[in-house]
Amino acid sequence: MIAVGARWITYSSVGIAGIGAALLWLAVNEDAAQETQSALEGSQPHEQLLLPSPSTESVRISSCDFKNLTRLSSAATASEAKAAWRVSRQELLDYPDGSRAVNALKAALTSGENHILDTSLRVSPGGELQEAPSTRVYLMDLLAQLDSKQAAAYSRKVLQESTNSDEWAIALRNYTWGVDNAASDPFLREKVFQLLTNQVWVEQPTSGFLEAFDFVPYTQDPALVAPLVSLTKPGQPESVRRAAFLALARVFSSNSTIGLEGVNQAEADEPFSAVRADAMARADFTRPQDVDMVRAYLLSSRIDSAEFALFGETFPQGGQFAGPGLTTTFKPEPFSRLAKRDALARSMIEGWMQDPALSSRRAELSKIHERLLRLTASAKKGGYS
Amino acid sequence: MNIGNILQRIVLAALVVPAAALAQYTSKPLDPAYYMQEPMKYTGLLSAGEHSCSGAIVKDTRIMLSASHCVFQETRANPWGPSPEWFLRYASAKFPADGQGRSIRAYWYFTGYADAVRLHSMSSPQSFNLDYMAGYSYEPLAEEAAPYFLNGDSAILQLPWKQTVGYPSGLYRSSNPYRYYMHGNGPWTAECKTTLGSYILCNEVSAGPGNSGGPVFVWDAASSRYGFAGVYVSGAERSLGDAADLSGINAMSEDEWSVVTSAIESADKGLPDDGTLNDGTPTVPGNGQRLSVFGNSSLIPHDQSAVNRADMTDFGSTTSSRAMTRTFVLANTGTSPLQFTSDRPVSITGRGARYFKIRSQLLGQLDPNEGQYLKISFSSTARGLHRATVVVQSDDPETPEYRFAVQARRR
Repeated sequence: MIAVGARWITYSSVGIAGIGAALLWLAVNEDAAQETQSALEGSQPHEQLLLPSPSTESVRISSCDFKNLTRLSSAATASEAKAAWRVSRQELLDYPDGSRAVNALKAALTSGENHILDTSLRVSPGGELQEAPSTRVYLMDLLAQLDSKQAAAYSRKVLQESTNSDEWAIALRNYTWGVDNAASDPFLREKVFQLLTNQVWVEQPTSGFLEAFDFVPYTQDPALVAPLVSLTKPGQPESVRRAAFLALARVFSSNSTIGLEGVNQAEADEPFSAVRADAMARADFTRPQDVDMVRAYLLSSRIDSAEFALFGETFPQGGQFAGPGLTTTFKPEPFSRLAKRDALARSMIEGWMQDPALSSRRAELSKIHERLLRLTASAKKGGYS
Repeated sequence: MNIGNILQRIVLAALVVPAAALAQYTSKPLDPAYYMQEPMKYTGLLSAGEHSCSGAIVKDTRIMLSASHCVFQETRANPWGPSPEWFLRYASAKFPADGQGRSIRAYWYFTGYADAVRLHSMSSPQSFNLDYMAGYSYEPLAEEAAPYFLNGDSAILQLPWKQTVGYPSGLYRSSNPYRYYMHGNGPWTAECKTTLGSYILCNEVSAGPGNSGGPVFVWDAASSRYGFAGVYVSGAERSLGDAADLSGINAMSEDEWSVVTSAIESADKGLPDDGTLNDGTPTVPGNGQRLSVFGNSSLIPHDQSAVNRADMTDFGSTTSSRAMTRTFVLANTGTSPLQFTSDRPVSITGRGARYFKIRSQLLGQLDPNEGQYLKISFSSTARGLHRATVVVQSDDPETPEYRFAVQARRR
């Protein structure tokens, strides 16, 4: 046995004027705002609502009212932008006339001004941003905090027109915040599919692109599992592969059946699939469908023995990532439920060990059985059974 | 230098206030007779398939902390590792036999999608900065858990004396009798510097391959104990041909502890019915009073502006003007009593403030590990989405105004 494990490595180691002008003449059109809301719910076109309308009644607002927003729009460095973003949020939330604050933000967004920053799109628990890669992403984040409906409407436009994967990530998040039942929304699902299959973005992944994988466990859309599985394959950029593995783990933990079925279908022609071994090792034997799928898996003659060995080493897989997602939250499975799963799995495996049809898988089953004996004994000692 | 001398130094260090004359910077094997001394008694070997790492039992006897790269291997086709096993205070020339250790049922890798390998390699400061994991067992993994610092980076950078322990088995050939003995170094006072976030490098201190996940303990003079502050994640060792000795440590921050704690509570205990937080957590004194807010057992971080259903900051929607009430828990997760600093310590601000009402004001003070309920209701006849910010004033030195957003929709 080689004892390694440490990575033992040495280390050497568009303009301000435009925004100001936009803020000076902000359209405050309540009818337009209403139209935006109803358009979202009724899926009518609404793109024009995002543009300041010179023809509607306008109200003069001093740009001094939103001086931190102006600072954010024009920030040239990451630290300036982050600082302005933080104070803008409260400035906008505290502004007495909410619709004017929203219109100020929309004007800043539609002005075209954007500054690329040397920071990544980083997420905190609850989908909150820690930092953003551009001033526009910060502005889109603020809009969602101020008015999730209008942010969703604006996001729809971004998802139809933008070619920037970081903007897509925040637009997808904003859309889920502002639309009811967004997880089953066909537009959202289609856009997530487009994101996952955008070859340019796959080859040059941004942090926003990777964080957007969270929309697969969020939507629980079986059609998104196959493109996600394809991103785990050798040859894909390492960061893409790992993010895809993490997203799949969260799919399995939230709904094992969709994950298992999706991976099974996606990998049907593969003699060896690490991701399929991982999926099967996360099967929940309290679900009859999972039991059937694992049994069929073990009976398959087309699967390489190396994959069964991997499955035997890892069942029941307990590794999860606990990081923040744009839309999903880490929900550890209650240990009392895990103990129940282990007990059921043990009894099922004991039956399979006597099953002549599964005699060729006896080595793997014995290994799993030994592990489950230890786990169930441990659960008993810990008071979980 | 023989093993007896090293033992004497380590044991002295554990029993008395450290002295410079005892400094030892290179990891050496320890006699098992002394494994029950602090801080060695919390340490063990983590077997994860082909790899071995180190770890420590901290905070709760069922929680094992280590480095995430021990169980999430970028070199594997499937990066999630096989079921890890725990060997408390292991001592042998041979690798432990499969199935002889304590089972770690679940392990959690604390990272975001983009941080899994980030846009850099896994062997980068950006990745090491996030390189910690928590494993959880059904049953206790040690007799007691090590005390810990809420802000490990401050402890490592500001307090002088450290001791590090672990299993650097990669230093040895397979025939060496001390290969899988617990090793230790310290107390040492080498200069440490933050490289990125909570990733800290300490010059002239070395362990070796296999020590990843090994605990870094810092001497707390106030309690006369060593407290856990972080885990080894990288390093360089002269004896392996490197130009210098170097230790890379991922210090556990308060935020990281919050995630671990809320995960464990969600999976296991949850908050008791009386709203108090009293899990017997041993913490090292000196961290002061600390206000934390929980919704549905999930921590609501200070300044959280994004609402969500999981922690109840998103109240949901209602079609009537009847009040919807949500109950939060305000807890003192520090080590000194926390005082609320005004007659009305909780207030609501922001655009939708008029739709939210505080149904229970907080009174007096919270002792460490104590909590109080805070009820907030929403009612509105005006249709639409309403948002506001809850502000709690206390004498928490870091967040005297703890703020978080709430939202509700009137249909």
